[in-house]
Amino acid sequence: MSRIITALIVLPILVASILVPWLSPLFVALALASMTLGIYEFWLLAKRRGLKPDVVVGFAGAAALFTIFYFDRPYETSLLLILFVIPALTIFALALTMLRGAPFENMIASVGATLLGVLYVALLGGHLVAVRMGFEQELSAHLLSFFFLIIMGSDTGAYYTGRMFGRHKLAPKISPGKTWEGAVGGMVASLLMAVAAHYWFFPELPLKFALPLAAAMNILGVLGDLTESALKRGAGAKDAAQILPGHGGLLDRLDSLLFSAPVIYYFGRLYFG
Amino acid sequence: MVLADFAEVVKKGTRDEALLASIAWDRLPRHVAIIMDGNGRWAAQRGQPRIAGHRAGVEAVRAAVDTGARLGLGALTLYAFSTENWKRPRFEVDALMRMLRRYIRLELDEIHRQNIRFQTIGRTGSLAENVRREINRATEKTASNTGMTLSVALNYGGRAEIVDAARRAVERLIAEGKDAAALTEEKLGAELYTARLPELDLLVRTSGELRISNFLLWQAAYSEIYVTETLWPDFRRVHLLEAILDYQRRDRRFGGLKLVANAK
Repeated sequence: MSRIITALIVLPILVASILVPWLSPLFVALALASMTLGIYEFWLLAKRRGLKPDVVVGFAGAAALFTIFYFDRPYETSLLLILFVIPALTIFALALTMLRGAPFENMIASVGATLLGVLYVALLGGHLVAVRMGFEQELSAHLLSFFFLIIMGSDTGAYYTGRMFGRHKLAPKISPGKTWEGAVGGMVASLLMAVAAHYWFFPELPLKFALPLAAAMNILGVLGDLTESALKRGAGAKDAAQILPGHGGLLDRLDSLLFSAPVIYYFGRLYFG
Repeated sequence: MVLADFAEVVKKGTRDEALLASIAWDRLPRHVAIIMDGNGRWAAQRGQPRIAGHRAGVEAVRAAVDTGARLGLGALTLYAFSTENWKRPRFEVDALMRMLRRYIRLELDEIHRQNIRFQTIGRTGSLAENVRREINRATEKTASNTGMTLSVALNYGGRAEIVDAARRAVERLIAEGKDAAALTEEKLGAELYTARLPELDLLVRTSGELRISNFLLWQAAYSEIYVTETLWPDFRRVHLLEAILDYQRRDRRFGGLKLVANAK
């Protein structure tokens, strides 16, 4: 029940922030808030394993990446600057951990956790900010609407077909609730969403591209979902943290879109020139 | 009623509606060409990079094409990229080409739906392969449309066009065994990019410059020229209607004394 209430509040805000031209800062704020919390949850998981991620350096790196994504514009991409931030982040994370002194037993894993949190959440997810800022309003609204329709469609389709027909476990050791039947239902739902999007608002995206794109996003979504479950399982946590009532942690909400975010961005860049 | 074509986009009581009401529908220019100038200045006024101006200019292109098609013009020709524009910084040229590609990708269905025939004029052979592919796709898809012809001038130069046409006309004469004296205006005109287009009646230039900039030199011989201070990114339906109304107020004599074409 609280799950539905949260969705009823967040969803209209998300939709408005995508469709209303002057509300693009709201979209960026939503992305910033959810990814900040998402990264933090990731580091909390790392801490449960006794690692010491450098939260300050990590957040600085994430902020730098976010800024770059924010300044992406049509026909003048800012994303090449990422090639500057990643080395800088690597150097700072390593050197500052060294300067803090012994013990160094977990240094590799701790610095790794710092960097992975930034890469996994901010680098992957940040591409959605670039989709909002780096395309003309109409095109960005179409791309993001398509994106969220596919993601939500495949999640919902998988959930309900899984509940009704689910018998064969997909990955019992990672996520016992998932079934092959649900996975098929999710795939079918995401393809249906792609067709719906094409005829509803996105005729510029031919079906011969919309369908493979939706299929790829669906598979990446399932992989992302399972990956996050594995991360949690490894850290011995059920939910990454409880922030949205009924929705588990924020990472549990982001997991299925993080892997697909770069895909929709680079597809848009390549296909629409 | 012709106004009905605008019913879904023009609201009652707006300036657009007033201008539309005063247009003489039987004396529309058959062919309008536009020198789209002022993107750079528009961007500079806002302290933005030139590309931001080109980006904003795309919206003006959409407005001009939509208005031209709804008016029922025979042809609309847009000066997008001249043979001299290669001198601009490479990333700007690059961005312009990608904008053209994206414009076609996004607008082709709408152009086709409006029964517009798309073509390019200019030495398009030297454009990048992926741009040419997109152009060919659009040209082929809309080839049999019977509405307005939208010509986009790319790598276009007026002198180059005349030279190319003269060369082809002379080659034809040689093939037919005739000599130079057999070359006529009609024969040369038939070799121009615009051979299939109606006579150029109105040449519009934005951004206040009083130059023809090597655009449609041959075709503009008797065209009315209309210059507006409006910068291209700000150009909208209302500005095109103003240009056409201004054109309709003029006496066109084509060198004679009698009023022709517009005199009714």
